[in-house]
Amino acid sequence: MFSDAIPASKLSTHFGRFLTSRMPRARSLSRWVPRRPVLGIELNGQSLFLACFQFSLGRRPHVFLGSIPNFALLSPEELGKKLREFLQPLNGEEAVISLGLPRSEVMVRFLELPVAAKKSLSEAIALQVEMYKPTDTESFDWDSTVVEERERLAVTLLFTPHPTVEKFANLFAQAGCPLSRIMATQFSLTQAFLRARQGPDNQRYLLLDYKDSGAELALIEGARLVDSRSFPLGGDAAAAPQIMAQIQLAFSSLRWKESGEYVALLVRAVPEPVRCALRSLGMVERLAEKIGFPGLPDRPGLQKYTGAAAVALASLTARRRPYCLNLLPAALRPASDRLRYLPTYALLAANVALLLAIGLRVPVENYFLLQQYRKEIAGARIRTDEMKQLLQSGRSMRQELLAFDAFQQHGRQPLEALNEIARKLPSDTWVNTYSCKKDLVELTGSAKAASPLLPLFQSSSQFQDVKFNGALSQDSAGAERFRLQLHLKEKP
Amino acid sequence: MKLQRRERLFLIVALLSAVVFVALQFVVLPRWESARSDSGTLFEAQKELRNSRELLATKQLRDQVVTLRTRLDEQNHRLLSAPDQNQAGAQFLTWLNAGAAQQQLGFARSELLPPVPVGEKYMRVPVRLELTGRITPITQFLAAITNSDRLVSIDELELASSSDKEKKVHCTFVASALMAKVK
Repeated sequence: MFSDAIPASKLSTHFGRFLTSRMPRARSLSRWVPRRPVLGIELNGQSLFLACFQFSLGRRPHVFLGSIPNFALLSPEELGKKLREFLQPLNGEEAVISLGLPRSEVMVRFLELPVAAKKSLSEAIALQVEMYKPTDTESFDWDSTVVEERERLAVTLLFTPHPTVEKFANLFAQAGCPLSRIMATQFSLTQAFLRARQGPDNQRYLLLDYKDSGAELALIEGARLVDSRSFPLGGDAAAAPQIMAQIQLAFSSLRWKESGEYVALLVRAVPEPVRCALRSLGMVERLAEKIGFPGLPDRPGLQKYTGAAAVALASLTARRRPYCLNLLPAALRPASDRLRYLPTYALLAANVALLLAIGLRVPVENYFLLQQYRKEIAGARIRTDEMKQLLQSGRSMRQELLAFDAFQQHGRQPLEALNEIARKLPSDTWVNTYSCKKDLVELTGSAKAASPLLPLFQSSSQFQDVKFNGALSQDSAGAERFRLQLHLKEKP
Repeated sequence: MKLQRRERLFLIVALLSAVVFVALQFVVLPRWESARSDSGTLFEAQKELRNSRELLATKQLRDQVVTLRTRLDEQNHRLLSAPDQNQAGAQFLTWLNAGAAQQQLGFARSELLPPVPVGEKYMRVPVRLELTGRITPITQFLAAITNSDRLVSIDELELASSSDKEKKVHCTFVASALMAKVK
């Protein structure tokens, strides 16, 4: 057991570049969605093939691959032990487990409904199920998928006997690993292929899953699965004619021409004769290349896990996508714990709230501060208005008083100038006229020597620009007649 | 009417979008814009509040205003109190004549000059006077009128000595007094 298991670290290292280049943008973004690990189990003959994807935020998924041979011989406890051993790298993290049944375990019916049936689709499909179920005596579990086309609804019904579903559900439940989904591996592969395909086209595809016990064939046209079948094979040597015969049968039932250009998609490696036979129909490609599973190695030895990987990743697919089916009745599914990621989301919300709080702190603080200031200003407005009026009237009164002072000071200047002149004049100097108009003082008189008068008045603190306003002349007594002009200094 | 799950989902999303739009358009964004623009006016509000507080804290302002009012009232009592400018001029002239007579100065001529407005509240009432007398009484008279209980200003002053034996001086001056404007 687990002979093919590959250490997760090795896988993620080896396929790091592969994932980055092939993963679409939406899938890269989905790395940031918290997910539980998914375990896909493909029932293949007597073996179970396991593929487990473990996701972590912002990083590539880790993949664990393995197989449990002869699982039918194991008791539920032994099976549970092996599964727990396989899931040990998850460190106790609980995985969502899906089981992919082989095509031989399910019955498929294709039917078409008018577009008008879309309004009450569930009722219409339930009616069709009653018509198409294999027997009335046995109970079946079923699921359906609808592909909307231009004028019709292509409905695919999937039936499986209830005892089969119950058997596997009970087995895994007793093993301590309850199943969340049971689906057909072929449908999971189809769904994975349609999802990975770039844009819709009308190309016809043959999906061939070549197993030891037999082969599964699916024909895809555009976005629709149009035929599905499985058949036993009588060994590698006879495989090619058997497969071609089945393909011809399918073509004739669909009225497809054999000469058309088809693309054969191989899930696993096929013998060379089969490959050569398929080449006669068109191109032959490997499905793993088309799908590009995140984390699934594209090595020949690991192709047998493609089905399990498709089953695992189908668990992540939205229910409304075509060919995403679940045959497990709701009553047998484990109760989903809706509060599982509550702490994660609560922490995220707390972080967002914290960032918002940090970002909005300043404007909000300003806002409330401003409101508070405005309130205070409004409260004190009556008193401040009163004080402002007082201040204003005080200012105007002070200005009036200053104007009165200036008026009086200015009015005293002529007399003060006269006093200053009288004080400064030498005793041998006589003044005949004194005139003071505005800031100009004029003196006329006679002196024994008039020249010293200039520095005398120049040195006074009251006068400036002292000069003789005319020539000096001498009178009959020998005294000098002068005419002096002085300017009053501005008082500070 | 029974709605399908998808239709219900659309309806819920549409309702939520409408609620979010209304909340953003009419509550969140206006408040956000207001908060952003408020940050600019916050400084002004702080300044205004500080001024208000300082203003309210100035307790001596009332006392200052009372003192100023008292001083202004005192000064107003020194103005000419007459119902019009002519009567004020006459009153001022009479007062000057009385002062000149008191100093025994000879009155030669007097003239009422046109009043001039001073600021918004007052009028300057100028008077030209011609006197004769000895220099000492003249200066005493001029000193007396400038230091009197009236607001008087000497705008122009001319003194001319005469050649008589009494040494009399001819004095011409323009004096102004203030009066309140007649409303």
